[in-house]
Amino acid sequence: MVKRINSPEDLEKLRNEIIAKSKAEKHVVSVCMGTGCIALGADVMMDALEKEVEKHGLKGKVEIKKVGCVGFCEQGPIIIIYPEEICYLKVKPEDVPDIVSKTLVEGKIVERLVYTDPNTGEKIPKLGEIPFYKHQHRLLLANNGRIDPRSIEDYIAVGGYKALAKALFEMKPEEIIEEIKASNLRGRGGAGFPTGIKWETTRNAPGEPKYVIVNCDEGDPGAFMDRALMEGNPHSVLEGLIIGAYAIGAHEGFVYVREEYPMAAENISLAIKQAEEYGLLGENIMGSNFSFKVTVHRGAGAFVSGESSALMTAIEGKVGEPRPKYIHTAVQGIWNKPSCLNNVKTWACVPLIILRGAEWFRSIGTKGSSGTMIFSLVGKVNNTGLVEVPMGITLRDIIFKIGGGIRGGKKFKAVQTGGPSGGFIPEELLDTPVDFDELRKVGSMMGSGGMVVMDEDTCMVDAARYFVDFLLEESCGKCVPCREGLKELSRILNNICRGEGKEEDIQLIEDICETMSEASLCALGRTAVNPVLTSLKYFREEWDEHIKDKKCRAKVCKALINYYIDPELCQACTLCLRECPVGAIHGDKEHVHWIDQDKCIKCGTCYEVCRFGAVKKISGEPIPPPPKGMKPIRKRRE
Amino acid sequence: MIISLRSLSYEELKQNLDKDDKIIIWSCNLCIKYCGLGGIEKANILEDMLKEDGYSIIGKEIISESCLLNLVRRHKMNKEDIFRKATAIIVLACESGYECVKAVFNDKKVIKTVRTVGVGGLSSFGKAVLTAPFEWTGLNFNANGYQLRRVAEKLGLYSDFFDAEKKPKSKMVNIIVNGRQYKVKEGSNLLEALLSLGFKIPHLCYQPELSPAGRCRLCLVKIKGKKGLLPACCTQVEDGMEVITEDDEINHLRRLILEMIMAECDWKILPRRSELQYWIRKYHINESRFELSKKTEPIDESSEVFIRNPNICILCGRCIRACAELSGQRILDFAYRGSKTRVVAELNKPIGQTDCAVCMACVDSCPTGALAPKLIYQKTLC
Ligand SMILES: Cc1cc2nc3c(=O)[nH]c(=O)nc-3n(C[C@H](O)[C@H](O)[C@H](O)COP(=O)(O)O)c2cc1C
Ligand code: SF4
Ligand code: SF4
Ligand code: SF4
Ligand code: SF4
Ligand code: FES
Ligand code: FES
Repeated sequence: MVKRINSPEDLEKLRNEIIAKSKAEKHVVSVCMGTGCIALGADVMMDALEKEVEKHGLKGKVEIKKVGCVGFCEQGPIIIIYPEEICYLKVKPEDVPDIVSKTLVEGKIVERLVYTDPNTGEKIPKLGEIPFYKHQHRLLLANNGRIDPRSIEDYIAVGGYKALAKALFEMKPEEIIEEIKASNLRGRGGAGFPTGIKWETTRNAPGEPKYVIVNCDEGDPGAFMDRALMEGNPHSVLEGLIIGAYAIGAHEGFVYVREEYPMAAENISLAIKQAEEYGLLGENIMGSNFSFKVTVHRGAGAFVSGESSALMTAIEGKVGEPRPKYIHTAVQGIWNKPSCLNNVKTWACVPLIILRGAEWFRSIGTKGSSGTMIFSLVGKVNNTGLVEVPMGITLRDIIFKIGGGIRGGKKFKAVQTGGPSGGFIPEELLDTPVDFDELRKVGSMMGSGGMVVMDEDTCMVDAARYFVDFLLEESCGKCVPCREGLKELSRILNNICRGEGKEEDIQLIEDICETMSEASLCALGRTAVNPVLTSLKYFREEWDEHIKDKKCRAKVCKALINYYIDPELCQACTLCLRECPVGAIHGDKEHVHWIDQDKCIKCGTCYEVCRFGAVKKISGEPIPPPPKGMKPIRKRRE
Repeated sequence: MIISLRSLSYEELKQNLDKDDKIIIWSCNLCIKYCGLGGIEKANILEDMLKEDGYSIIGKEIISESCLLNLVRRHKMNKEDIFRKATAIIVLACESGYECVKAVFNDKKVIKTVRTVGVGGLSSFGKAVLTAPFEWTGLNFNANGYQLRRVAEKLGLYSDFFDAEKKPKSKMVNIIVNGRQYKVKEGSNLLEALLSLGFKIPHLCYQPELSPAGRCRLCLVKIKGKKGLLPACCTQVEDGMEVITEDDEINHLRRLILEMIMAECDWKILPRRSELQYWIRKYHINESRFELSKKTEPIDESSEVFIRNPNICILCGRCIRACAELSGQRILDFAYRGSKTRVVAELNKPIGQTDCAVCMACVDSCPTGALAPKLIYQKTLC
């Protein structure tokens, strides 16, 4: 049984004890046990590591830590060795003996496992110097990689619950709200609503009890920043929630975690249990007269259930669909009681602000948007992963400095920020700073932090179609504009991609978008038009090409492309002929091959298999006629 | 239809009540409403009158039909906590409705307000008339129907509601609509207020007896100081509110929404008198530019008294709320999500095989005729 913490002094004492105990260990080996790395085999590698360390008799001298996602998942499994901060990427079980004997015993670096700059070829062993990390500003993610998320002692050792002690014993609830207001913190869940004002609204709303809620629904496909925080540092979210509850006057809280995040739910549940054991949660927290309890609620994750009123109806045990909220949920939320809902990241910012002050927080970022933001950078960039950046950094810096530019030397075309209902931002607007208001101005949004980079091979009409189809599946169907509008948009956009677009379609699309954005009940319907509108605004030529010239310049829309074998390049290897599933290719060992366009089903197999690049995709141009008779082949001499 | 006349004066009603009674006003949404002696509107008036006189009204309960004993029980069960607190129930329902309420709430003071005088129908002016009087009235059968005012005079009863004796002085506030000032009741529903002032605001998912849902988005208006457009049906009036009910933008949006709704159902086959057809005509729409979603679901004819044609349903949800709130049965509900949303009865059973109480609340509320009585005269003649 652990000893209850009954005062801030108890907490400090415990912290010092923990630190003193860990001083004995020389090396700390952090192994990323995030969902991404486990999928790549981190757990097997972990077993090997434990055995190997034991074999070398290093137990007690080396501490192995299972840490949460460190953000560079694509390069996983990842190991970071402290205090040197050596970062090893793509570590396999067979690499473990080298790591132990060279690095842990001899203090040398295993060159083949460190990051290599794709442009210069330079080897960069130190985590903080890898470009992906160098340009980030990690506040919320700072301790992912340093602490074991399943150990409250680790969190306390790095200063955890200090902010709670300060809040409970040195500040009045009103002072906390003032501090949050002064920090200019805005909600990280998408809308960017000022957090301090929301707290104040709930605090002042009539009615008891009051509730505080963590929104960890994270329905954006490809986004995992909330998951990474909940899995990697759950106590930071919990500490923020407790401080918020104290400030607002709530005695009960909920953590809403989507079904697909079992580890997040497990880690936060464990964190709650540990905090309760230490007296940091429950009755008379830290010996004060403030009591607070937290329940974890697992939600079946439809995208729309992340919307505040939908989420609250789900916690009440009903079907999670938005309801008209002309009285804000901050005033009438769960069971019509005042309820303050914030995103995972928003809550995690709170302890930092309380500890270091509003002024410090405001010094990071821009005037309108302070602090940092976590994005999940995905798509066609060299480095994908979780990036935490100060607000105000330009999109260009994120994509080219942190992301390392476009993969395969291709050309950048657009970046979508803010998840499936974010807009596409073109090259000429890449210097837009990351800021709630600036992103909205260019037709996109901050959202909860998705960032998808698209290159020249992306068709912007098809991309708009893709997100409309995604949102069509996610709409709850309650209100007419969203339900019917998305259905119509999907039909029209699919027609255009199929080459059946008509010129009057554009007007119709614009009308639908206007209705949806003005008249929908919740933000899903209101923002669902962003991809379509920005695609129309910034990439109008592509739409015209699809509709008028039946051309898809990115050669994505299947109906608008043809495969064609260049007779000058064909080496009559017969590979494509053998692979074609429908026998559409003619030719033999002696003759140039050609494709019977009537038979071809455009599966692209020939294009994939041809080793001479002879198969071409063409769109919007006439298909050269097949060779007259059989054209003998001119073999290239090697 | 059952015809009733008021048997109590307002003073007599008050004599039945104590100042510390916790009162619930109970009303059917059917016959008594057509007789002008019940329904949500009258219940509201009575609430205002009694409150002004210092009585404590703790709730109003609108039920599809009180003469169905199991529905009365259902309402008691669904709202147990409020009924437990009540000490008196004022019943705006015919005498057999009253008997059911009295039987279910036998521990409370249940107050009857009417005398039932016979069976009748609606005249061509839409007014209730008495055609088949009960024997004790001494009146003969009259196919054209007796006017209720005359019957009341003859029998010493009242044909009008309590407010004929004393107008309640409800608290009024000023609102500005399209630049002109009006007085409306404080805290009332904005859509209701605007409609009563004569503004023709299209609305399909709102019904006064039911909780607002904000689904159809037709009643959107602009309110000064508020961002974007707001559905009037989900907004309460506030003193000094400035509302714009119509401008080019709003009308444009309403037309587009109507076009979308038209694409959702085979609107050409809708009854001309249906609410949806009315708004389509009103906004001069001849065609929807959107493709008709081809719904070819089977028509459910399993109920003895009404049919359900999902192909002309626009998902306004009124039937669902009517079934839950007026009948208390919760037979109907939405199933699936997004563009696949549908109305189903009890996990997708034919309605005839459910616990449907055949109260017709859902049928009465349907704005398209997707739920329609099998016999047109069923309701009017009884
Ligand atoms: C369709 C839809 C989906 C949403 N999904 C999420 C989500 O997954 N996570 C989240 O934190 N907020 C989500 N939101 C935003 C929430 O409604 C709410 O604004 C937010 O949780 C408030 O927290 P904040 O003030 O900290 O941003 C969503 C909103 C909409 C309209
Ligand atoms: S906008 Fe879409 S998701 Fe939101 S309530 Fe309407 S139908 Fe549902
Ligand atoms: S695209 Fe597919 S079907 Fe067409 S020729 Fe190539 S392999 Fe055959
Ligand atoms: S389905 Fe209709 S008729 Fe049947 S109980 Fe419900 S409201 Fe009444
Ligand atoms: S059946 Fe009628 S009342 Fe019910 S949802 Fe459909 S249109 Fe509305
Ligand atoms: S899971 Fe290991 S870096 Fe993300
Ligand atoms: S009547 Fe107001 S939204 Fe339907």
